[in-house]
Amino acid sequence: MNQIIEINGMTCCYGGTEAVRNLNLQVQEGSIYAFLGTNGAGKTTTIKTLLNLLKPKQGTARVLDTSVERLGPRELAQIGYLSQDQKLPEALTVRDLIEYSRAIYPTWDDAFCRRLLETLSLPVNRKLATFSRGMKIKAALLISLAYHPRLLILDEPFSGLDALVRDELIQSLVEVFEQEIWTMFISSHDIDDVERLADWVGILDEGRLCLSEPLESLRSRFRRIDVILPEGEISKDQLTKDVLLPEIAGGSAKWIDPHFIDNDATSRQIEKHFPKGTAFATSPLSLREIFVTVTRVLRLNSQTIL
Amino acid sequence: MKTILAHLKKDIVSFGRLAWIWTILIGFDCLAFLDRIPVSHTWHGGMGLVFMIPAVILSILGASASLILQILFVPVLIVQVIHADALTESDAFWRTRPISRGALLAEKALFITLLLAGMALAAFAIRFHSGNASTVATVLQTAVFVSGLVAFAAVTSSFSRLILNFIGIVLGAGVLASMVLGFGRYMESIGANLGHFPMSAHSLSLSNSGQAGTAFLYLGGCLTVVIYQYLTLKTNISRVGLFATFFLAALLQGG
Repeated sequence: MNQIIEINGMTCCYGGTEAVRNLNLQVQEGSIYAFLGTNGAGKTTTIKTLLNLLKPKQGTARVLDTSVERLGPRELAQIGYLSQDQKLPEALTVRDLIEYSRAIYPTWDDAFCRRLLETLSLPVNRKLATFSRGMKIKAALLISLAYHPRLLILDEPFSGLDALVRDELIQSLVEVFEQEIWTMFISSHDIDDVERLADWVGILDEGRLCLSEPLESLRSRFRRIDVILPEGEISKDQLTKDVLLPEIAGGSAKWIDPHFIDNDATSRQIEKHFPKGTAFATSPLSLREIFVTVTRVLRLNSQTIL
Repeated sequence: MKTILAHLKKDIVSFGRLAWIWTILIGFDCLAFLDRIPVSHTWHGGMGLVFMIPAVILSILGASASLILQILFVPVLIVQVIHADALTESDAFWRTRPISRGALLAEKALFITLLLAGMALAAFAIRFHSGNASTVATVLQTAVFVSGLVAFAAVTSSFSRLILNFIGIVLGAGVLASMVLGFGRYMESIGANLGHFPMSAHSLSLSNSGQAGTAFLYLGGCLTVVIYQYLTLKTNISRVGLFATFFLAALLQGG
């Protein structure tokens, strides 16, 4: 598969500080990449650099096989972009906006646009200035999808939207992506929403990429382990170095295992460290739990390798 | 070309209300023609009064419209059209759309040309009415005024920032130019006292070619800044260019 986004050793500054440090990241064509991070992690700076809205201080970035500094109308005609603070020509009606977009995008698809209009329930004759934030995001999404972009970049698209609108937007995206093979790069800290879409996840913390791998791989290797212990045991030292966020209270111990293989291997590991352990259970983590674990661990010890 | 026209249409639709007001104002200005159109004798008595009153009202409105148009309305419209696709904001809508910077510049130039063409038509009507055909000076004055306005709009993103930039650059360049000229005169007086003449106000002022020279320098500087800013988006360098233009123009004018 082609790499549709390729970042090598990129460092970017925003407002005088290094917002992104030595970032290496690849996004394969056809994947839905969730770019996660806390507020101020450097997600928006990375995205703005990918669109040539900011210049990298060091390193290189390529989008659609073109250096970001050389992105021009030809490449931008294949990229859809939607951000949380998306500015639109608000004096236009949805119809005007569609007419304008149709004229500037060579691959504009009228039939698909009509279908999107129905899915997103947008009134065509109302001016964008009279729309709520959710409706504006829907309008922006419409004109970012109707020309079948090869790459859709979404920067916190659901931020500040109510649950219903968020659900409608995600549903629309799911429907679109079921029918077409596109690449999406979506940054968000609304992780539950993103989990429904993504097949690949990258976590950025304080400008550094902590992990980047398929969602399925993350889900299978991150497990919560709960062990029931007889009374009078143990200290935390008995837990292996590999486990994350260990907690021992009363007659039980629990931790997150970031390298879970299967129950047999876990059983052997527990027997080694807790010979008196009576029973254990493993449970999968949601993406949100994985994200919180990773971020919390990195805050405690930035040298941790995940 | 398709992109330029689509963008032009977007701007016309976006500023539809202002464009209508502009059309009406231009229409009022053009009423000056009526004075030259031969009128029937019924205007001078009887039914004529019925037509005279609206004609007087229209004439007054037309004269006021011209003033409003030139002082207030057109500058506001030009600045708004430039700021609608701001060059200094990284999150401006056009920045992530398939529009080249050159196409955007061409579209804005086309919009402003259309706007000024209407004004030129009105000016021609007024000149025709008054019998004064001296339009070259008016065209130059308008070009100088509009180029400065566009240059300031191109390096800012809102009207308040435009005003602040204008005050900063014009005041700064003016003060610096007067300091340089004052220093030149001081050196001239010292030179005269010592019997030689190392530096004069005349040598510091680039030339003594008068108002037209200043106007052309200013026009050229502002247009260069506009083109540079549109093609490179290097706002700080454009601001320095604008400052240099005002500084040199002030020096030329002061000398």
